[in-house]
Amino acid sequence: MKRVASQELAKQWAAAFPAFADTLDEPASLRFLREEALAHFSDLGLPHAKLEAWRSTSLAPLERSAPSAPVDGSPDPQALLATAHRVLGDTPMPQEMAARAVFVDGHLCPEASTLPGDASPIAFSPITFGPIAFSPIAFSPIAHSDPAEPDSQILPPGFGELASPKQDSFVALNTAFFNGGGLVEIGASASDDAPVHLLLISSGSAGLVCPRFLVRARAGSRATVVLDFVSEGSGEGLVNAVCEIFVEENATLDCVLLQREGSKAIHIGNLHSQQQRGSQLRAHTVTLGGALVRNALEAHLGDEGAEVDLRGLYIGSDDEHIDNHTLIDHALPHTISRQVYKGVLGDRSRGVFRGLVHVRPNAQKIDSSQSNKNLLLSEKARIDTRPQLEIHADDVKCSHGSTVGKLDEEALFYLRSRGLSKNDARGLLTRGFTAEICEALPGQALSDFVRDQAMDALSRCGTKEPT
Amino acid sequence: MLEIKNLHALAGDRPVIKGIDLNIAAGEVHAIMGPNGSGKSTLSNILAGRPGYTVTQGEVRYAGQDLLDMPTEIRAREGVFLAFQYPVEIPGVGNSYFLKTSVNTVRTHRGEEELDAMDFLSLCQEKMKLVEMPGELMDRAINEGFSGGEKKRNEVLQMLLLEPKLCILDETDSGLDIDALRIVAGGVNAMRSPDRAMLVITHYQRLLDYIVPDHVHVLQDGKIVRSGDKHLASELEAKGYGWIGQAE
Repeated sequence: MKRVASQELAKQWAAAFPAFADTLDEPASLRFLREEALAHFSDLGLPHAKLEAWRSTSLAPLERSAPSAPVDGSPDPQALLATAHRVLGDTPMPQEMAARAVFVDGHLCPEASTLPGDASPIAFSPITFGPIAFSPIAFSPIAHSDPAEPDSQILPPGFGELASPKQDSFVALNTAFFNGGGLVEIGASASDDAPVHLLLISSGSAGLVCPRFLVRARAGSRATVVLDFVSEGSGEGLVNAVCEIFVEENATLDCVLLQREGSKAIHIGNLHSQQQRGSQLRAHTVTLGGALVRNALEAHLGDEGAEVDLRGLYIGSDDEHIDNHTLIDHALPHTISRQVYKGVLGDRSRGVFRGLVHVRPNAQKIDSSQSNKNLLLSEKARIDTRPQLEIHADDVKCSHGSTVGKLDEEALFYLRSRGLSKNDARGLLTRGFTAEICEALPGQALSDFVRDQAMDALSRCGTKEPT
Repeated sequence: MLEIKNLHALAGDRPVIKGIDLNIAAGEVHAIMGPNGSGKSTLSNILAGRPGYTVTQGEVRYAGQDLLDMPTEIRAREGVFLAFQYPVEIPGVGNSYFLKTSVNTVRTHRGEEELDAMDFLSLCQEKMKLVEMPGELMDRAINEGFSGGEKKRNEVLQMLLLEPKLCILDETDSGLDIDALRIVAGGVNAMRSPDRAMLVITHYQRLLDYIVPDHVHVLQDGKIVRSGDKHLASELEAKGYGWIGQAE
């Protein structure tokens, strides 16, 4: 198979940009924003091992698969719909969802979706093209073109404010090529009923896909949004997703990132959040598959009383590489952050956890904890874990720690002494290790669903005795 | 039921068991007493198959089979049960799920039908009454946050559910107050039957006031140095282990 050096790949993508952009029916202001992002991308190039943040994660799987840039901004909706129906038919789906928006390679398939009705407090719209109502949650394409006023404000407020194309090449790449995804508006009257399910299907044949999301939880609202990434077949290609989340005063938002793509999938995710006074954000990142998965999560605690809770579970098998990078910015006093990441790594899989908690000067009375626990099921599995604190205030309570271990021999013996086979005992202990993260998911139906999916992933990753 | 012949064993690389001979017939309750470090717990661990011990000489036969040749889980399914001195806490694994899995694994091995959720629940409730175990302990993770007494009750509950043929109780009295001891002993006594053997390992005579043994053996430095009936236990209690050493 051809292997393309990452900088060469970056050039190929940049070169493909004009033709791609020409297929989009967009106003000049948006084209300009894309071009600007592309210029940043070209300056930055793709990240390499000399960058501190990429020291432990190699883009070799990306070089091997060398996905091509998108050529057509508006693919055939019938083909997308057919893919959506096939995947919906074959893939287990979480139940009891309030609404489901289905995307294929980033493009919304309205016919396959159950969008919230007008009465719902949640609205969803394509990010560039005006809210599709799901009240109280509105969901819309992320940018809207108003044919009458082609140069009117078409991107939702906040777009690009948190995820800046100046600093991160994948964010820049997404900003240049995003073509799909959506805006989720959670109205103040939303009150924590069933989750909104955003199902992102990768067809495996689209090359580079750049979904873009913006979630805004209005003051006082409560809601759950699930970003669920699946693929058809082995999911070849690169999904380069960016999600910006704004949690306004006293709002509570559960955001679940569920990654269950195929064994060849490459997934780069950037999730950036900004919180206002008294708000709560719980982000659950569950990674169950993919050749290379990197989740960069940046949480800005922008006002007093803001609280963020990051929970992560990653299960690696074969040669999978799963990287979780978190940055918590305690910008103001009286903010709280908690992180619990747990990994189970089998075969030759590799995990990376790097968490940085940053406490700014004068951000007193901070309460922060960070924990990363790993279970290595094979001699060849590997984890690089580095929880870090950077504290510039003196009246703070911060703790961090990480552990790497094998299954507890005492516990294995205990279970076997009650008749359980070695494999059953190993499986039970491994599931027990992951239970904490699954149980913390909002709602019983979602929690049960993710637990079952995690169990499937565990059965693939060498919970069986190595022979 | 259990025949131990000239057993020698290492714990790690340290010789701990230095020639034990012991026969236990069905229906009998044997107690092994001895000072700390005499090899009591090592013996029970070897019988249950805990890793970390090496048998260097001798043999152990259980119901006519070579016990030492059987993996831990097969011993358990064949009816050998060790009540742990220190039951292990296993976070994230529900106690009732574990007990049901265990019971059904053993039942399947015996050629019996698996219990469904309802039947298991009613069996469990019946046995829990015997050890006065609060129902909420079933909804928790295995032994997680259990008090010392609750852990030991959970051990005896498992024994009641699995109905083993050979029960080995390793210092089951340790860490129990008198009420808990009475309850735990009550559960054990409910298991006494003509086709079941018991091996009760303890440092103190106290437990043997409640679980009255047929035979008492004193283990010292890896060997049985004296055997007798239940009166040997009270004699030991009165005179201390030093007395045995002097007597020899």
